[in-house]
Amino acid sequence: MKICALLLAVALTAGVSSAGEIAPWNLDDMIHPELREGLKAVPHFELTPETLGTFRKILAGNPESLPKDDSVDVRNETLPSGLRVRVYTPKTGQKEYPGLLWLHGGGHIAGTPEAAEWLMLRIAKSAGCLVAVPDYRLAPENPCPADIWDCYEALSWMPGNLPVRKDRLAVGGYSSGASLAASMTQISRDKKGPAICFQLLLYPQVDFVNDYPSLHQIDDSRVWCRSLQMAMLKFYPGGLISKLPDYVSPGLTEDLSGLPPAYVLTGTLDLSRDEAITYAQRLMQSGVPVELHVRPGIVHACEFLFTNAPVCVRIIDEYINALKEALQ
Amino acid sequence: MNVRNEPLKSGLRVRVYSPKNEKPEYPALLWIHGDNEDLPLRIADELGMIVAAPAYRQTPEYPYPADVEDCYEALVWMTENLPVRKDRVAVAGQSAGGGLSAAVSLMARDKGGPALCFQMLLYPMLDHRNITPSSFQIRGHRAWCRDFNLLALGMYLVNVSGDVPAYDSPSAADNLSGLPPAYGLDPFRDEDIAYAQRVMQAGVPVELRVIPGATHGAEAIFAEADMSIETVKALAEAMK
Repeated sequence: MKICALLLAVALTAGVSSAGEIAPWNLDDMIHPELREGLKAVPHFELTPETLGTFRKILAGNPESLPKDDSVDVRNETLPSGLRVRVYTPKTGQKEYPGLLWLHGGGHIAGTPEAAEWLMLRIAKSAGCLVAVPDYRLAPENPCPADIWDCYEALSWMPGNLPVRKDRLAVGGYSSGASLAASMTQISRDKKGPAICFQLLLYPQVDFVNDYPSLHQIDDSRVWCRSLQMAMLKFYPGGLISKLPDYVSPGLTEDLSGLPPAYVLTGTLDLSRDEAITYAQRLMQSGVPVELHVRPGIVHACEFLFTNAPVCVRIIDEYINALKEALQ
Repeated sequence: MNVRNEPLKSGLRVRVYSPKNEKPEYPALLWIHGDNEDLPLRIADELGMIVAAPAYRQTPEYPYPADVEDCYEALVWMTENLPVRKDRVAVAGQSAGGGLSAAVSLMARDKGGPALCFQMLLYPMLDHRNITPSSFQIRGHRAWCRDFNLLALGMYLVNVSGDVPAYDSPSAADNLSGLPPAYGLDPFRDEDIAYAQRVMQAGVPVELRVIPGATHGAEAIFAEADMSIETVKALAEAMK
């Protein structure tokens, strides 16, 4: 697989930062006014091998009290490999639905399908689509690229085993999940796998360059930030960036032509801001229709931290609407 | 709605749109036109703002920097002579007007001029170089394209030799900190994204939207389309 030489050159000189000396920003001053109070209540976090379990618990939320919606059927399916896929189907009695493969975030080391159950229910209901969420294996217990191939297995399984329209299949996710979603579009293109009609990339972290200005500017561990990212890298991908397996850094893939239309979301205070914009722009330059929305004062995975803030409601409504339009 | 023309001492004409309701002060917008009058009327009406649109001198009769200076003059005049709220002054424009809006924002910062609370750059022309991928990819003469752009820039920069000044080509500015919050809507695609990204990296809150399939100037052509609704919405949000 050909890797984009320019971006990789930046990656390999990490340590000699091309971003220079950039001071971290004060998020309390710069965050969207509707989130200012909320941010004050979020504790700082240090990610270490000892605190990984705590990190996973925080992201998992409370699996004992999941939200319910009578208009959506929720069940678990187990694939022959043992991979569990949680499936959300609108109870509208159709023979077939548009489908979404959703890949949760969590830095490849945490996260569960149930953690964003509230959002999955909302997407299934509002976009009228079937949502499948694989419980892909996490690092470091299951090293990179186990997660990528679990996700691809779920994608390949969907069309023959779930009531989905083969011409209306989308992938989506946030953070590391957006990276996995981008990888799915490239693998499916290269291997002539299931046709994907749309990719929803929320706060995508799509390469392991880790040297963009935004990654230096955002270093406040109340949100996903530089120090958390650097701690995560010890668990995933591990090893030298130049020797990563194929599709681990979809943002470094040279040829982005023939990929599905994309909606890309990031915020000015998202540590992945610059790589998200770079990937969106490279997709556009490759002739892929892209809607890019960079929102001022918004931090990484904002709506998962401050779910009920009006700006977060607007964020979610906009991308569910983009998904709905793409699946029509 | 009151619409009137105000001649300034220099001879510059400024078209002023003001709401009819009586208030001591209004939020205000310097609107650096494209040709259509729909959007300034709508902004004045729906958002209760004073909109001032200078009939700035144009190329080829008046090359750079006549237009930037006219727009800046109109901005200063507006804040000193119209009943505007000094903390709610924004600048906006489409295409060449978007580039001029960015230039006026830089000039106001550098000269210590009127404080701007917002700059709205609608598919702005920000970079004279025409070297980005999108400047090559968007061709054919039905919408604004590479050939039109090169032709227009050739006429515009006739008096400039050596480095192109930042007030003409805001992308050439090294220092983008201390600028007002910005909203940018494409498609001089790559130069706009690059500029928006640099302004973000300087710590300015920027909203950047790139809409797929939108051709240059689509907003002026489809006044009721989503894009102009989004534009009015974003302005409303910023002027709160």
